[in-house]
Order: sequence, then structure tokens, then C-alpha cells
Amino acid sequence: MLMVEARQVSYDYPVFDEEGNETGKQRAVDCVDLYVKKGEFVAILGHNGSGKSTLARHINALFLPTEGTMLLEEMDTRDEDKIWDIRRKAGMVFQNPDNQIIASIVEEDVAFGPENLGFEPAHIRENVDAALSSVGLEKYREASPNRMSGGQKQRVAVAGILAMEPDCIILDEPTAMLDPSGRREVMETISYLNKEKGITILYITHHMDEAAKADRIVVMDHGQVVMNGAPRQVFSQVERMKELGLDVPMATDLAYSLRKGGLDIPIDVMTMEEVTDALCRLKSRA
Amino acid sequence: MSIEVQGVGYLYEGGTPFEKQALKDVSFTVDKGEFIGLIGHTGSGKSTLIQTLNALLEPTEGKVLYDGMNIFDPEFKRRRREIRQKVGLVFQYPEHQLFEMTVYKDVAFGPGNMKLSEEEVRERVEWALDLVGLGPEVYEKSPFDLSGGQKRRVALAGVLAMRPEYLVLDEPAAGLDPRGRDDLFDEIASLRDRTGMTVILVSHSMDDVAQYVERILVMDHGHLIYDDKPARVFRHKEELTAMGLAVPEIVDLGDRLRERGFDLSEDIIRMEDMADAILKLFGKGGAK
Repeated sequence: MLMVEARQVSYDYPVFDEEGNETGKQRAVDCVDLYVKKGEFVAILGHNGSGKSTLARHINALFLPTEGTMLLEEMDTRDEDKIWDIRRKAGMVFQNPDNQIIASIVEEDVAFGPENLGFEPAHIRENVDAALSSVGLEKYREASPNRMSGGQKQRVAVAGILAMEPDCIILDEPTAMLDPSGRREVMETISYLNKEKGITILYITHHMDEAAKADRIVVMDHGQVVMNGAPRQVFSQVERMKELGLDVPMATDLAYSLRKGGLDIPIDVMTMEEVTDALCRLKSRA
Repeated sequence: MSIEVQGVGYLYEGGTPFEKQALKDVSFTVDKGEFIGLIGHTGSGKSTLIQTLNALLEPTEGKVLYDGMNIFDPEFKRRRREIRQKVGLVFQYPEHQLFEMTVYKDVAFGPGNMKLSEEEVRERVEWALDLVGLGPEVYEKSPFDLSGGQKRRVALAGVLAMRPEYLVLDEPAAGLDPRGRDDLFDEIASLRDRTGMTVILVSHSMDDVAQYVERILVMDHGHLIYDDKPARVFRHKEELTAMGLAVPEIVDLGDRLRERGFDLSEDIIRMEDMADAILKLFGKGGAK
């Protein structure tokens, strides 16, 4: 069963001159086919301007394709009768935590979505409690979000989506503004929701170590999908990734340098642990 | 030539229930020409600290000396403006502060307020934009039509055009993609090599900082915990982890390999150096 199905999706941004007249179009997404299975964790990589955020905004109908079709659980995002279903099933978390929180108390913020969906009060209460416990913030129920850390705020934003009972969460660089511990908190929460709750995850990031934790990586360039495969498969193409203005995990980069220097070390390593093991094997052979 | 921070403390909202001690008894000296990394997690006090360096915030305790002169001394009040030019502060997401119609005008704003001749202003604008790798083709463009990385360079040029002696950058690579990040850091390093400017890089990424700086200051809960060469700071792995920070991955690898009997120096903190050292161990020298 497919969660997301993009069929030849293209999107053009209008281009304006100084007087505000439309002078042309700029293609941001170019004939993308993308299929995401239910329960999958897909990371989307690409340099700034590669079209990844534009594509992501199609999944929950924030943008509609100029050409092609975007389906979420077989619902066409162009179908206006389905738009609220689509937005409930696919929630989105953005980069800046401060732009996404609207209430002055954590649980009120989390309740905002289900209230708008007209859920019964008892149902809302249940969902808010469950959502806060899933992101590990049950103790902060009555806290004020503006006194929380960036990582905690992003988890409040995730809880706000969870309370609407989504099947899919799209995150657009959720850790870009966070410090290392905040990044770890968000990543752990996302892994938990994917593995334990079966929620489909689409995760846009510039952090290669985060992408390494996904089931699959999709790389975009100039609006097109240019690579698509398991993290090991994608990252082992070190030169290609660098050409695309991207990076690979440092362990992969190091293995690549060692290989170039004449060591017989596998290139598809992603962690320093794996590099250590590979070097130990080499040493015992020598 | 130096900035001396002596016993600096800062209390936000003192006397209210929200009172917060952001800095506590912080002392260190920055000498001219140094390249320093200032590390700490969110809320550790590093942003408060850098604002005391150029007289934006007056410490509630202690003092900051600029070339021996206490910048908060009432006598020198008139010179604070000058200090702000000498100590250039580039905030996080500086591109949010761009406002002029053209790149040229935006960069010219700072020097334009310094009672310089038009000729001198032009010289500085051209010099600053050249330093950040932007040519005359962008002078007349609107800063808002540029890419994220270019906008950030324009904002940086706006500070450089004041010809600061000290440049403090708060998370300069936040939000940039990997190539944008590498390009910007390389540019800052070359800028520092070419001008001899003192650079303080504020970051929470040890990996970014390990690549470039010669000295690291680590802040935690308003205290200055470490002030040392990077390799020596990174030996405090447990303490750094407890502070919500992490040692560079290469340092982590070094520990693992030493545990398994590899003869590698604890001073290796960069990937290139680690690759060379490992190749040497296996008798594959001269990999460059």
C-alpha cells in the first residue's frame, strides 16, 4: 500500500518583474515520480534550491502540481473535498520552531489541531495526552512553550500533528536551528514514531548522519530526483554526492580517502564503529 | 592589542521572578590575530557573552577591556560606537537584516555612517564584497534576489566594510547546505589569513570548529569551562557529552582505534590528518 504517490509532478513558480507583473515561470519541480510505502522512513536530500521543499509541500496539498498528479493514500490532492482529510493524514513540521507554536500552554498548542477537526472533548484529551507521551513531554503539559529549548519546541510541534492521528509526517529541516542535543531529541522521537507507531516519515535534511538513519534516501537536483536508494547505496557514491553539492557521513568520507590511499576497506560504511571494525580486520590480516 | 574579559557576569531581569544568571565570573583574553571557537549548547551564555564584547550589553559584574581600556567606563562612553566598529558582530541568520535596494547600498550602509568620503566608502564596499567572493556583477542587484548563501555573504560584507579588527560570527553556517557551509567556512579562514583579523566563531558543532580554529572556549550554564587547544578540549569527552555537546567524530574514532591497539596520537582531530595517520600505520604513506 502506497502512502505517497507522485506521478510526473511538476511545479512552476511565477516570476515577477519590479512592477509586480508576471514575466515568466521558473520550474522548481520537474517531472518527479516518487513512491513512498506505508511505514517507510524516507530522507530527502538536495542543496538549497534543488526543489525538495517545494516537492514536500505538495504532499499535503499546500501546493498543487502544475502538471502531473500527487496522491496521498490514493486521494488526489486536487480533490477539494478531500483536502481536510489529506491535511489531517499528512502533517508538516517546519524549520523554525518559533513560527509553529501558537498557544501559550503546551497542551493547548497540541489540542489546536484536533479541536479544529471537531473531535469530541474526551477524544481530544486522550489524543493530547498520548501525543505528549509519544514525544516524551508529558511532564511539560502545562509549561509555556516560550521557555522551552528548540528541541522541545520541535517535539511540541510534532505532538500537535500526532494529536490529529496522522499516517504520515513530513519534516522540512526540523533540526537546522537546533544544537546537538536538540537534534538528537528530535531524531529519537522521529525514529520512535516510525518504528513503534508505524508512521510514514518524509524527512528533509542537510545532516547526512540523520539521513543515514532512514530506510531510503531520495536525492534531488534541479527539481528532479537524481538518486534513489538505501543510504549505504547512495552514500557510497561519494564523488557523485559531492558533485551535487552534498556530503556523505564522515565515516564514509574517511573510508573513501583510505581506499584512495590504497587500503582495502569497504566504501559502504556509515559509522565510525564500522570503520573501526574494518580497520581491525585489515590489521589482523596483515 | 587585545580584548580582556575580566570576571564578567550577566544577570537578566535581576530582581524579578524570571531572573536568570546568563554569565558567571567569565575571564579570558583574546589576542590580536587569534582564531577562536566559542562552543556551548543553546542557553549556555555564549550569545550573551559576545554581546558584551562589543559593548551591546553591559555586564552586571566585571569588566571588558579593549586594548586596556574599560569599554563600559562612563569616561569612554563616546567611544562605544568606535568599539562596535572594531568588533564586528555577525548575528545568526544575518541575511534577515538586509534592507537596502541594492547589494552595494546595503554594504555601504555601515561605512556610510562613519564620516568617510564617498571614495573611501566605495573602496571599502568593493574590498568587502571581494573578500566574501562577490564581484561587481551583483552590486546593483537586489539582495533579495540572491541565493541564501549569497545573501549571507552580503550581510557579512556589510560588517567587514567597517574594517573590524575582531570579527565575531554567531553560527554563520546555520541553515546552509553542505557545500554552502564548506564554502563559507573556507572563506572565513582565508579572510582571516589575508587580513590578520581576529576571528571568533560561535557554534554548537564541534566538527565545524575542529576543522579551523586554534583555540576553543567552552561555555556551560554561564560558566567558561574550558579554554584550550582543540585537541586538549576534546579529551574531555564525558564532560562535553554531559553538557549536551559532542566531540568531533574523528576524535571518537581515534578513541575506538586506540582501544583496539592502534598507535594513533590523541592530537588528531581532522579527517585528513586521520586518513594520513592510518595510511602510514598500514605502510601506505604519501596518500596526498
